[in-house]
Amino acid sequence: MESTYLTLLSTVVFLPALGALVLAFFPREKTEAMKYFALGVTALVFLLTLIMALPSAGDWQFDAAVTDMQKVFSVGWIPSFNINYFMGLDGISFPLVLLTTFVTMLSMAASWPIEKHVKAYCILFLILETGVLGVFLALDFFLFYVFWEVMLLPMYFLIGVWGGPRREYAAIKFFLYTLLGGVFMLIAILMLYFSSDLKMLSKDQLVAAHVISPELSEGEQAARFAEIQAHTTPRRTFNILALQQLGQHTDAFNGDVLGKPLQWWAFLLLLIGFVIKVPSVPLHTWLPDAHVEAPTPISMILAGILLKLGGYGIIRICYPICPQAGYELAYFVCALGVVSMVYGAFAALAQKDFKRLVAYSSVSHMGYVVLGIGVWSAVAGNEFNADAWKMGMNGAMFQMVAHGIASPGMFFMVGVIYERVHHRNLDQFGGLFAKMPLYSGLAIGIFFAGLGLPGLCGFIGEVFVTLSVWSFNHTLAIITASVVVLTAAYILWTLQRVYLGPEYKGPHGDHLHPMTTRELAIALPLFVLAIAMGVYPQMVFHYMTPSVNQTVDDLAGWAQRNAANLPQMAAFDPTAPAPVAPALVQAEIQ
Amino acid sequence: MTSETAYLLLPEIILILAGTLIYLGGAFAPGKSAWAALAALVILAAGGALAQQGTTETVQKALVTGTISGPLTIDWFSAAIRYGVLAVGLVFALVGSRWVGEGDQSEFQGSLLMILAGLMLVALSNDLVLVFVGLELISIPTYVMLYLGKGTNLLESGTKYFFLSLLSSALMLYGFSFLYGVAGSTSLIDIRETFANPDADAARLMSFARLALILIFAGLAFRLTAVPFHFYAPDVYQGTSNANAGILAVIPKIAALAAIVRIIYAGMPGLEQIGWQLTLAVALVTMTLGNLLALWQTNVRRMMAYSSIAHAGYMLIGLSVGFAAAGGAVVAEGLDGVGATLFYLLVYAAATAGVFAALTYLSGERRIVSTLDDLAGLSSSHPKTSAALALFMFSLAGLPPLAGFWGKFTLFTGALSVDARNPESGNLWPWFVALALVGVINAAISGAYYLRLIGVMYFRSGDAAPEGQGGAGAALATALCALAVIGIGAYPGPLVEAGKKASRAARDVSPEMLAGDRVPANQTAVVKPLPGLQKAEF
Repeated sequence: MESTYLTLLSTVVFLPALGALVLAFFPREKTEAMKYFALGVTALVFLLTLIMALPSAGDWQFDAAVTDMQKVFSVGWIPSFNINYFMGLDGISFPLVLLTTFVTMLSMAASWPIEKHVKAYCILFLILETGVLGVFLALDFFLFYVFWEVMLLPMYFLIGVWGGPRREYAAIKFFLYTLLGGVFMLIAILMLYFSSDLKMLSKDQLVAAHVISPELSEGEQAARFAEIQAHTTPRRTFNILALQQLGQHTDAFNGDVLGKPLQWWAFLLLLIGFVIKVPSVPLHTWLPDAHVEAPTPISMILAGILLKLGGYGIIRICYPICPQAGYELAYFVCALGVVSMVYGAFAALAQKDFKRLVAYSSVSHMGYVVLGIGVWSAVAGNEFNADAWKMGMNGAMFQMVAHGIASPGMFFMVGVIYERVHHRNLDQFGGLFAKMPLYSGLAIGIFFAGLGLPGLCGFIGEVFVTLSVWSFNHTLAIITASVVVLTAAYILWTLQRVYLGPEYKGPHGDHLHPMTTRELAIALPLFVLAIAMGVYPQMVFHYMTPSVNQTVDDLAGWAQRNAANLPQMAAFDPTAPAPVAPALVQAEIQ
Repeated sequence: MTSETAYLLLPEIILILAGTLIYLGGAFAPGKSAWAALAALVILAAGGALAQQGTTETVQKALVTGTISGPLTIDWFSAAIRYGVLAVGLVFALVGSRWVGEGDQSEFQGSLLMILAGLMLVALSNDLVLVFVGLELISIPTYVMLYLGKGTNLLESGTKYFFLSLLSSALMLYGFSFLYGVAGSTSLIDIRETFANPDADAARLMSFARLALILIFAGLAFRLTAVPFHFYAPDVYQGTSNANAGILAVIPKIAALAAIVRIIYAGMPGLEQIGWQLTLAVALVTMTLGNLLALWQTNVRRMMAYSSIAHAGYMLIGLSVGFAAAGGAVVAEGLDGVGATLFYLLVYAAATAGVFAALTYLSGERRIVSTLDDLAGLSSSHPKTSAALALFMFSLAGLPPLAGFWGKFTLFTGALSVDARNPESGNLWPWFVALALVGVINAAISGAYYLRLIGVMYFRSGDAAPEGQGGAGAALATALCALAVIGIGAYPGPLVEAGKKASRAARDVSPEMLAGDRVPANQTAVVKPLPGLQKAEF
């Protein structure tokens, strides 16, 4: 079985890179063929991941009912540091993988207007896809880090070479922020590595972490376990699952460092690395610059996929490995989320540049993700009721996917109009509805999805997060809810300035021809998905909820075991009513 | 000198003889590229001689146990450095193949061969006198070399280097004299024995030993370009030619580290405390200052000078961990600070030599590539060279999966592996975590200027493309370095292991080294203290 999974997941990850290699041998002048080829590769990867979602895929099928990792394989890579080529999928990564392959395919289709150095563009584009998929699938912390950094290089060039007038500044700013986050992450990884010891785990835990392959027979497992136990020196590991077990079931990461447990520092370093990517205020300033300068397809990938890596990292790594630090810093994380939401919304209101506005809306919307993850409301007195946190975590995950659909859509819509009139000044638009009715209709739909209108995809995540915050802290919940008003304000005002009004008076008015078929083929799927996910959110929850709930239950279990040692949340009010609509949410989730 | 010693020195002898011949030959046939080809062949021949020695039984046994032969130490450490030096030398011989000014070709190549021989002697020597001779054999041809070629301000940079190098040699020699005073011998193995088991006299003089350590380190820090002995580097690199700057950025660092390992790390046990503290402090300051000052540079050679200062700081991280481990701190098994430093040295040399090879290749009769603006738009005029330069920059910045990443990775893992839970090393731990933290922040800072260079090449358009007349040799050297950066990145394991092996060999003393295989006293170059000058009289 493992070899099947090895082939399957390696194909998913490295097929784009292989395509990039083939592209290198294309004759220079065949630019059209290169674009078709790159599109074909991305489509193939998308199909591959789509097949996994189908029930009839046999061995390849992603089983939504399984809460643990599936399709797991592990082979040695660098034995002297216990580094493995170790990958797997669960309900947290699978929707994001699917999102990645889908958005990448659409972005490649949106790359047709690229005329400069087409070969290099396509190659870098495909390598970028490999890097992103690798991050989502990697279960070895070191492998995770390598993919994380590998992803940086193509993005740097994609912004720097094909970007707008200030591209050099934007590219280097993007690179340095992410690099800084990356090196903090590296330190945290190494701190955890050198505190880890597989000998502290029981046989069942080692099997659950795939340190001992579950495929082995009982006897072989016992033999492997004895082999690990027989060592006199610590057995260090980069295995993310094993680190999670160590973080939740042992005191391996509780060593004292300058008055704080080691995991507190590790959590903080990792969090910095991830919130740079999310991005949260005050580490967000690279994002508007990068978006404004990047070409449209790259903005789509950046907003649709790369930002999700931050949220994914927090869910997969920060909390499960360092639960105590997560508990202690709950307010800090939530504050980061809320501040980003409010600041992003206000900043968006102030923008004159259409693309910059959308970029700030991303800062605001990704704040919901951080908030939803950070809401540690599992502890109610001495009752450990994780329902509210489950709702927040599910909401955050849903918000990531929803934002991954809506924001590429918004950036694409901005790109469509920019290509025609070559400016993005909000004050010089107006009246587009009359000239491009189809385009304007789709755009308004997608912008409403971003706004969070009920019935569209943006709504579900926001409302889940807002509800879950209520049981954590009323003040935060009220602020969260009021951000919805701000969001509505800047989106509606934008729609009014761009699409409504009597007639278009800005420059290049005669270039406002209707959408082409290619553009429609990109916008329509996003539009349809935005509606579908809003009307039938179960299509996403179906895949993610079991794993998300499992993660939360594990952490609540940890809290229960350590209840005696944990400080009560300062502002926690045990008499507060239970989450507002648990019944509805439970129904949603199940 | 016994015949065995002469045989063991064969590679160095080949280099020196050939160097002399090339000097002489240059008087009759100046300015021929053939001298470069000859030098490259000589380097390959020396490598062949080295490899041939490796197959003999004596040397094979020596490599396992570590053996003293006369004033020489044959072990994995000297073997690793000698091979590394020859590889670096080959690259620079190629770099200088075409464009080092009129008629200076033979002088350049002759000096290079001498320098290589000196460098190998430093790694080989078991005697303070021979170490000093080796270091001077590097310095003196370097003075000559700095006046060769085509630079923007050769005279100033050559003179500056000359005087400061003399100063550093004097400092080091002063330190050597204290060391001799404490130990009563110039033989490193004797010095080590004295430090490991000091008799009453030596114990009384231990405070002088500390002074000796600091003076020797200061003298070598000049060659390593560690703060505060770094200040000459930017001026000198900027003023001289690209090829010379490359040699200065790489070769003195190898010499300094080899000497530090032989004399301080291996030769002065018992002083590990001061060793790790000194290297740690200097490492922190050096890397930070180097990286911060590099941010403002617009001259590529000046930027690379600050970059080389910063990298000297990274190298000291490994040394510091090595000293701490030798002093009893618990470091995770399988890690070796000094081994990591040696590996890093190689990784750094590959990328840095590559950068200067590429710059040499890009230069021409009318313009030597010096400023960032000279590189603007390089990606369209010289796509292959700019790709190689980008590769070197990414490697220097430490991005996976290139060689530089593994270099930094091994260094930082070393620093973080000083065990937190072990009571003995517990009090050291915060220092080394801080060291690693400062190290990674520096790595991020360094990204800014390395990427700026890439940005200039790829995102800007230039008015005048560089001429690219550096010749096939420089192009080949660039390609070799690029291959090394990729190859080590893809498969770092064997070289990391080789670094560890070399470091262990330098530190561990086998019984044979202390007694068995030692050449009788009348045949060694060990200077015995004169009867009238007993150490007690100091």
